[in-house]
Amino acid sequence: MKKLILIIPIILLFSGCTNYKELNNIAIVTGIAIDVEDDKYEVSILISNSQKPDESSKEGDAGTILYSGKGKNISMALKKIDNIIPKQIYLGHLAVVVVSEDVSKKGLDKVSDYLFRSPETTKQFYIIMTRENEKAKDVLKILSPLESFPSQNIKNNIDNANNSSAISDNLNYSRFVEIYLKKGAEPYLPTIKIYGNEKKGSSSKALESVDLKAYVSLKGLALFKGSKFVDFASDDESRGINVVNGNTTKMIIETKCGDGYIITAISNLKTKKKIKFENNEPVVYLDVSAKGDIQEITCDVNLNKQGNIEKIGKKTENKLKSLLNQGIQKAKDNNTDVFGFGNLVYKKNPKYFNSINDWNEKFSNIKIKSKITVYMKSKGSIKQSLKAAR
Amino acid sequence: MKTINKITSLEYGILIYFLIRSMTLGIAVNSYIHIGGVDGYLSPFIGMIIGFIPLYIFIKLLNYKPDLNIFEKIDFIFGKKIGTFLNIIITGFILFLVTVVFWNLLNFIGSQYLYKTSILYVSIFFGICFCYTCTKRLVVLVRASNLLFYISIIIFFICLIGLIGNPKLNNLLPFLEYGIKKPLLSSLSHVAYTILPLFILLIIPKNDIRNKDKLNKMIILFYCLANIGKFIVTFLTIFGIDLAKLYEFPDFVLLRRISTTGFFQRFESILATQWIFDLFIMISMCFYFAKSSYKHLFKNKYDNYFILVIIFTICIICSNFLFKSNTIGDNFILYKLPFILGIFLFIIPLIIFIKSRKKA
Repeated sequence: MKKLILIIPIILLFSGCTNYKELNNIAIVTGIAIDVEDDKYEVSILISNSQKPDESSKEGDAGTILYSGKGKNISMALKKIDNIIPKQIYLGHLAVVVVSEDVSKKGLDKVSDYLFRSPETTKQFYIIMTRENEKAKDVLKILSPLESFPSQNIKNNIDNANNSSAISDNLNYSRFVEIYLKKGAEPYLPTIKIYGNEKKGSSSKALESVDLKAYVSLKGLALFKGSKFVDFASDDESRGINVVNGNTTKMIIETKCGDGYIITAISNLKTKKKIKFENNEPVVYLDVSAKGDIQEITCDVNLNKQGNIEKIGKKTENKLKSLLNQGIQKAKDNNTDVFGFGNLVYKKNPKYFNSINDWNEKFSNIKIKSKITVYMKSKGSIKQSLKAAR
Repeated sequence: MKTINKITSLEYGILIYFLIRSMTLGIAVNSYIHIGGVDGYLSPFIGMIIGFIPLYIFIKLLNYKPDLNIFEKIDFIFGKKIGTFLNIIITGFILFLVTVVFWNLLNFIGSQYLYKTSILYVSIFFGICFCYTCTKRLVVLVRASNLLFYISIIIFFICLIGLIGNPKLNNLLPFLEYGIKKPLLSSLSHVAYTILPLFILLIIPKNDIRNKDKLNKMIILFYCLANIGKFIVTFLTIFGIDLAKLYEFPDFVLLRRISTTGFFQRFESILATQWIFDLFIMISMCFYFAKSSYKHLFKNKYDNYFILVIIFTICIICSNFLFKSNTIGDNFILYKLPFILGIFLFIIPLIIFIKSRKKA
């Protein structure tokens, strides 16, 4: 009898608690966009479990819808959205957060606290920035024929792009905050751009045509100083930054050869960073090693000669070095150490680091010595280029 | 008729394992980060070595008069009046410790699991469990701890395997930037939080333990196991000190990074139950300690546990209102609780130990 008296309240308390919600009573947010409008933050949430119209609904399909609200901060903006939607906002499946250039110029620290403090979010979602005064919410409107939700499209785009073009980085929120908090390191963000007609691209009719009306594409990195945006890096500069930071293990290198090109697929890209003190000044040593496979040749070169293979390897190394130098120069020009060299100096010699007033000033004059090694491993399925074989 | 509560030395070791781990979540971990800093990962290791001192006192007190529990030993050493006074003080402190530990449990569940649910419901739910366990004999609690131990070990290995490849040893630098002072202070806190509460186990007389010849080995084995386990799973190597300092419960957030073969994800809520088990056993042992004190004070005249349930319910309710805010609670636990633990669970046992040597 005693056990029954105890078990019954336990069952009642354990069966869902007071704030239990059915799945169809929550609005699952998979994307958030943050813009600045009239000196307020406009927060747009992409809900991925809305109802589809009857005539086009398939069983089990869910639609997407974007709701927006304005406020002086994220909490107030989300409260405005709460007044519009009939369901409770659920952030547990948040996949991507898009911020506009204006928001980044104001400072990301003004918008990042809410998502970091909320116990609902996983902090593993991606954070990305728009370019050239594009609205962040427009990015979340572009539909893709290959993905169910725009947020899923952006997320998979980021995951896949890191393996080939090396322009972007799959930087999640947790890692962004980690870099932001580190001593002697500045954060950066991947960027995204809309191509095509944004209005046509956000209509479901766009999916019925073979011709792509609009699409989103990842672009180079955005460099920050503290929480404020400073400058965009070009595609080549971004590649260089990603190589130095070890964010990419694969990329494509294009080198000129006669009237054509040799394209080498780089893989197993590893970067080792070391700090050595010479004459009481820190010097950065970069050791980059990679494996190269010839992917395409559009010129006349005899691949059966080992000397030619070595020349191709050398050209690839030089091109890789050039990318590195471009990335490093970009960061130096903007006085922002996105590589974390300052953090390495701090870990090696904290007394020296603490004696410096502004590390970013020091960084712009720091000596960097790099050593690039590319081992040419394979020529693909054919031994010779078509031109040379003819 | 005296009820016989015989447990094995392995079961005794398991209780030691749980008691050492019980104040890790949100308490010991926060002291590693905020006091120890970047070198906080050294604290469990240094603490384990320093902890052999109170462990030695614990083993000596356990071996002294093996047929008596700690209250009876205190009465024997100090006499009736002073002994009763000391017993009441120690029991009162243990009940206060229960309130603090329960507050920590509620804080964890309220901030990570049920952040929209009134914390009173959670405290009622756990309170019913604790009040029920306090009406049972020791062997019942020990059997429950056996089962929870095996589950806890499996969860621990899942965490370990899931975190392989994540640690960044670079985050442990710079090494000893401020010297040994910070990790040493943090290791003393580690001793206070994790090793001093072993004093609670002196409520079990040595003669109530079967296969006593293996007892010392089991104590040292589980003592080392619990401490080494902490040292291995060092969150600092994964987060870095700056990010670890931000989180309320960095060890819980660490579990979010576990993703086995890309298939098992987001099961940090299940993995965190190992800490809930630790806290459950700790609080249950504290209640058993208080129950034994009650029986000793009233010389088994009252078999009715109604008064005990009332006292325990008051402790559980007080834990809801113990601290006005998280900040006050965190500061108290971080900077004041180690001293209070040191007075009640080290100085007093040390005095008992010295007196027992003189008496012998």
